[in-house]
Amino acid sequence: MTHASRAPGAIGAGAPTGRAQVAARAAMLALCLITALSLFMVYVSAVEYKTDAPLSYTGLDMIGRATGGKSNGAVHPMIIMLIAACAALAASVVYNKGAFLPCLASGTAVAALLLFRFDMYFAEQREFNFTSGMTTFGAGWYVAAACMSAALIAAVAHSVHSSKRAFASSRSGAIPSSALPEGYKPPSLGAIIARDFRKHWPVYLMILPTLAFYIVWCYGPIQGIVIAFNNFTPRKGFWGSEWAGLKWFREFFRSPFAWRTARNTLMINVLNLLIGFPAPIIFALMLNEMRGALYKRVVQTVTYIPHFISLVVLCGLLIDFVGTEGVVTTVMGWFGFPKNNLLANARYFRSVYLASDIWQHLGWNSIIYLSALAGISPELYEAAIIDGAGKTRQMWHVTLPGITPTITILLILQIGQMMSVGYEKIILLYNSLIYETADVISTYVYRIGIENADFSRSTAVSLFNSLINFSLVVVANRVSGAVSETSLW
Amino acid sequence: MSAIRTSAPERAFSAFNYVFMTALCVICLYPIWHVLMASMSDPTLMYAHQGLLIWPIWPLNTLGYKLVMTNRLIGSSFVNTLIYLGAGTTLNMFVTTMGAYGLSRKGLFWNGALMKIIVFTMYFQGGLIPFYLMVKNMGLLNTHAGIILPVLVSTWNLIVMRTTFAGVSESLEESARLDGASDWTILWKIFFPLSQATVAVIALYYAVYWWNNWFNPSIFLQDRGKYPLQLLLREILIKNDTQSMTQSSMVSQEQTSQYRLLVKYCVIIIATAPILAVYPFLQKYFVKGVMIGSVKG
Repeated sequence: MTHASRAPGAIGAGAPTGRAQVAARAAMLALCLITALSLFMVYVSAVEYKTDAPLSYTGLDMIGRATGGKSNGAVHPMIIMLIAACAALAASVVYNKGAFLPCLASGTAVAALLLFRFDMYFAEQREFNFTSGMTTFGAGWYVAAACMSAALIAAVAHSVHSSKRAFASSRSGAIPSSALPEGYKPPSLGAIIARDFRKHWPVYLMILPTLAFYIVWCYGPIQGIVIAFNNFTPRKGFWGSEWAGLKWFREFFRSPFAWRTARNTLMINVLNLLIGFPAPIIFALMLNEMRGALYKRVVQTVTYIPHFISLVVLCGLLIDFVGTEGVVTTVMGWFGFPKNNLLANARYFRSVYLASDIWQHLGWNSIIYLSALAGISPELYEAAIIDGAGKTRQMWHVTLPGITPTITILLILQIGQMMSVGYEKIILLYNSLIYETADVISTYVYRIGIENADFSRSTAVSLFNSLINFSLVVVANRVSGAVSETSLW
Repeated sequence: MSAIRTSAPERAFSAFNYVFMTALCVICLYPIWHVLMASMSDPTLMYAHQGLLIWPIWPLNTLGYKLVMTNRLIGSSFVNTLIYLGAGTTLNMFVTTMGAYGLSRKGLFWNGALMKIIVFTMYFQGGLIPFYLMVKNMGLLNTHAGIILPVLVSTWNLIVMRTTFAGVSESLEESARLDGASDWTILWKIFFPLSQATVAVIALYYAVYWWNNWFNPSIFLQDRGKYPLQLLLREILIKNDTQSMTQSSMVSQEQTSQYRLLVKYCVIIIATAPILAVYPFLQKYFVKGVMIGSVKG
């Protein structure tokens, strides 16, 4: 915490002085800790968490083991969400950049607590059982709720306070009220809105179709998320169906699919980040070193071509090429690889997926880096040469810093999509033989939702996925904003 | 070239670079070449062939193309794709342009809030099932409208267009207003022509979406007569359903499995050729699009 004193804007503290800041931060951290502890108490105090479910291999069964088998391996989704929220809150307090993240994290925690209560109300007794009148459960829940509410209030108050201050300082350049004539009253909000509409209604009319689109096709589905919490039947509609609490989430977390799909999603993305992301950068750097404008142009044009092959055709090609007697398999056979259908073997799916992705987008994704490279001033290279820098040093000290902002932005975008992969491609490529490595969260959502028409379960899984995605984008953006002054918004 | 002396490692690197790039170009082009050659080869010999294919296997055979070209479903799906592409892109552009113009105007009370509402949907969506159920509830399953309306506006394109419009000189708008021009006139007579480069790029992006679109049709359409080309391709290439192709008087019963492969190759060529034919003319717009898209929204 030693570096913290130079960061501006403390959480929950009015004046940005060192001592008050440290105190506020310590208080926030304590709140997080107390919440997590009391929640753990609640969890442990459950008489039986589940009874008849088969052994779960969720991979998240630490708590299950810690409770001495009382809950044999399952994790309540709200516990995960709460722990994540507490961690985010703690991290944001330590990092201390603005008030947005504390607001989000503590708001999430409060929402999770309410959901927890909601779930208690609707869960069948055998699913999650506390003996009536149990003090540990009641006390734990109230303490956690109180702590998180306090954290939320503090974070919101701080946010309001700082935005007020920002507003005041932005207004300080305006005309002082003493210069205005006697009897001048600023217009009321209603008058401003009415006048705005009278003056600009044609423009609002032009926005109307766009707005209607967003309301119907983006916010319509968002309100449809409610079916993740009920037993949706088409006859009763989104809101009319019977409440189910967090039944679908619990069932997902205890099923073998939770671990498998989460692992595959993460693996494909991590591999993509480690190999697929740097590939176009390296390609652009190599291309940049080449002399001969014509040859460069030819290489560029040719490597862009695969990008324009449609996904369906690409996958059709791929299935044919990596089949038992396909071109790729045959060529690999020259180097001693066994002649297998690569898409019938779970071991090879990730390689096939990644390699075909790189093949298709390598040239295309390098465009943006090439233009960043072209934007680096030649004077910098001249100066470096005069200082005696060789090619390698020029690369490290001129070229790479020159394209770092571009890389950062694209990296944020990439990390924001860590938990979502192009499910269209996987749906086209996979088959039941290779679900073990190919089945990701979004394909699972597709399978149970569209193919099995298990609407509520599917929505719950996809909601879980998009919540993680959303927080990843927010956190990646904030961290990058704090570290490198480059952020998306 | 230049008189600057280069060291041995640099020359080695340069040589490696040329070899590597040439190899890369070959790898990028080869699959398409392979399919093109295979589609013209003799189906029986091709069926037994393994490995690389540099030239077609004689005797040349055009029956595959005949089978595909005369197929009724291929024709109707091609027409469908053109309908989706034409109507979809036109509607997309119309709504996006108007929305972007409105949202780019300064001094409107609600614009800040509207932008927040719109940008939020980039980061959080309802998910596949609520989206599907919305289409179903509106009674749009198995209709052309159900394919086009749910993707009327792409947020990314809207933001790019709005940024472009916001950059148009304000004095132009003011002088037009003094001449008594309405917002409608200002948009279509001043902003739209002035932003031609962006308009072209955005239209291209929408068109590419429509050309490649198969997923939404695959969950919304049951009627094969409404299938776009890519969805039909999926049945042929991925699901291996080539029956409608090879059931023809031109193919004997025992040759069916050989022609199945040939038909696949021909279909790939026919579906990719239009794109590759227009690609050289549109390349600069595509590249421009990447650059425009990278501007902060």
